[in-house]
Amino acid sequence: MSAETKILEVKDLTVTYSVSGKKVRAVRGVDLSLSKGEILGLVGETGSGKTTVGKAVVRLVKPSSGQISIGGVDVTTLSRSDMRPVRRQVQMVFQDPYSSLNPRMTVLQLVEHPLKIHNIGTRTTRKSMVGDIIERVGLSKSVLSRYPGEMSGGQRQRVGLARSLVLSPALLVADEPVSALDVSVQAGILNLLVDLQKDLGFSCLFITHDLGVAEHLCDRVAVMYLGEIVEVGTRDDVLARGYHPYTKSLLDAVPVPDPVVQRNRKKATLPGDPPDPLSPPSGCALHPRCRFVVERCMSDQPELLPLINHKEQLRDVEGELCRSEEIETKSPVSGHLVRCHRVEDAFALNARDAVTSGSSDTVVQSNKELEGHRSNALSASGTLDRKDKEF
Amino acid sequence: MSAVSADVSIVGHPVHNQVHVEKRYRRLKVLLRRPTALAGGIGVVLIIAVAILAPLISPYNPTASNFSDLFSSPFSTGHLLGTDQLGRDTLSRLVYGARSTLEVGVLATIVGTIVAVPVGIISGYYRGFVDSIIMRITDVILAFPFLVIAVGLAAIFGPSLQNAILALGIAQIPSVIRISRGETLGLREQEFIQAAIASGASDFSVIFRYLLPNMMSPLVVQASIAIPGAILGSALLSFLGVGVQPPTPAWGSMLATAQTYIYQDYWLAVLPGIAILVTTLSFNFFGDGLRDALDPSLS
Repeated sequence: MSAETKILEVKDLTVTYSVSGKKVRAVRGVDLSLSKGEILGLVGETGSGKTTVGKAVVRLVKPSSGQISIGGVDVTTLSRSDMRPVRRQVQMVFQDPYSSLNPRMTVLQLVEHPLKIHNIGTRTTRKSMVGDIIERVGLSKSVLSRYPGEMSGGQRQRVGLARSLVLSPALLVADEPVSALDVSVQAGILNLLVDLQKDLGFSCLFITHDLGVAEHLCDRVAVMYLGEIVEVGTRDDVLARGYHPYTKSLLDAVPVPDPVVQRNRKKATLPGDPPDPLSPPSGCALHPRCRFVVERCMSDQPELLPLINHKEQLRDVEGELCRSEEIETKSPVSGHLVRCHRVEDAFALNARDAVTSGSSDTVVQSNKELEGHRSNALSASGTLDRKDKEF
Repeated sequence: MSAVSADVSIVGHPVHNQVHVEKRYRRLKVLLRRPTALAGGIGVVLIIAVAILAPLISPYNPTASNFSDLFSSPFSTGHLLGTDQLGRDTLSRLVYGARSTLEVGVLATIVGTIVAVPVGIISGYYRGFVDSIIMRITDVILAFPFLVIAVGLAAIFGPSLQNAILALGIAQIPSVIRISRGETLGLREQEFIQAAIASGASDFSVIFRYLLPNMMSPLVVQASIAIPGAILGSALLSFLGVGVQPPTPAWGSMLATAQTYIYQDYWLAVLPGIAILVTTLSFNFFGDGLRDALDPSLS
């Protein structure tokens, strides 16, 4: 991956909102990069700042500090008119297909409008471009004269997708594009997105709270907590071998579709609620809820470091060296970054918990089973929040 | 997961077009189903027809005096509604009075809306300092009753039809600014506005293609409620002598003149009073019905 192929580079992005006079840092120093044709999943709970990152990338919110480069152009300080040519490169798909389409415009007008804004084509060529993209997203040309109110949620989201892709952007920011849809319709939209991505080759920043969706779709995954990225890496690095305690708890919250396993599995769920972003905790943002917390976590803010560096730092911790080696072998230095003082201890403690709880050998076995089940559960596209409440 | 497309569109059926057309008429049906709205609608149409067709309907010239036939009672001597203190035919004066009254009511509302809506949109869309200034000014003006402002302005501008329109129009501005600002605040958080901005639309295009069309129904409702207010206002202005000037017939000034003779010839006051009442009620009922019919929660 050379510097030229980076479609999006976000450096130390901070977004501050002011809420009744107080400053809320919704995004606190986020670094991201996206190569050509890559799908990066941004996952996290409600309020973790993932949508704000997306909106900052398309400049719907103004970054307070940091730098955003799109296709090598620094857009952070561009004026609104200078921003216009760049906007052709970056388009956004919104969460709610019911409010993201102007109810007073027909599908033709909706999808054509971006072309008009950027002065592309004549009336007739625009119309044929719109027709093409509408068929591309799996709708019939006869919907062109319809109003959004006359369509289903899935159809509307397809129109939203068509509107974003009609400019053939290099980067698509998809802000939970399926979370407002029925599960049956979700699959259709997700598969469509994957197909279109393969055909058109755009990069995609895919924002979701659904780990199953992230696993189905993404090449790389970044986990956000309270405005910070706590872990980033390839899909398998994060979703199968996540090291950060927060990632672990997210993964454990995904239910396993086998009641026996589900009941007996050891879950590392987090106690309490996410902290108030108005007054984020000192040190590591997760420390009030983390079971691996030590004094250092309360005072020092951990850095987002490659796993190998964590190992260097903690080499003197006794008894964990073999684990460190394991980490090293399991994770090549492929940009798997974790923000935690206690990565190795967390890893070791997780393993120890699994052994000490219940009768030892069966648990080890069921733990292996669990890995299998978990990936099943993930691909079953279970919505994290909803399902977690049910159990 | 295979390429499921559970939401493949059902299209191309002729039935669908029919549904589409029926949907358009449904709001009209909702509007006309309510007896008060229906009555209001009929009233509004009738009054507008009378105003337009005044020269054809009125049996006499409304300004021609006939001193041999003063104060004749209704249903006598060829004057259906009698004559006034100058022997002018009351029916003709009422019919022509509908013209000036409607003119003032409708034009004042149009003037007020045209000035206020852009200000309200700018205030709500850009927020910040400009918004605070505009809102504080409207707060101050709204502290005075509508009619007090209208009468005050009309007194300053001097008595004439144009000035009455101007005064009543300006008096409406603050409340219309409030309404359009509120609508804008609600709409600008909608994702389709964000989508338009994200695709690079200019503020001009966002305001005229996205904001304005989506706030038309509350504005139409507001106008249909403001018109009777302005009609009452115009009656008050001409009653106080700062509105439409004689000899042009206006309901308010007819009422004012009739005061003098109210013990002998009460119908001279009652008839324009009824005209004002019926017109105001019709517009109000129609406006209420319109509000219900355009309420998106019903569709």
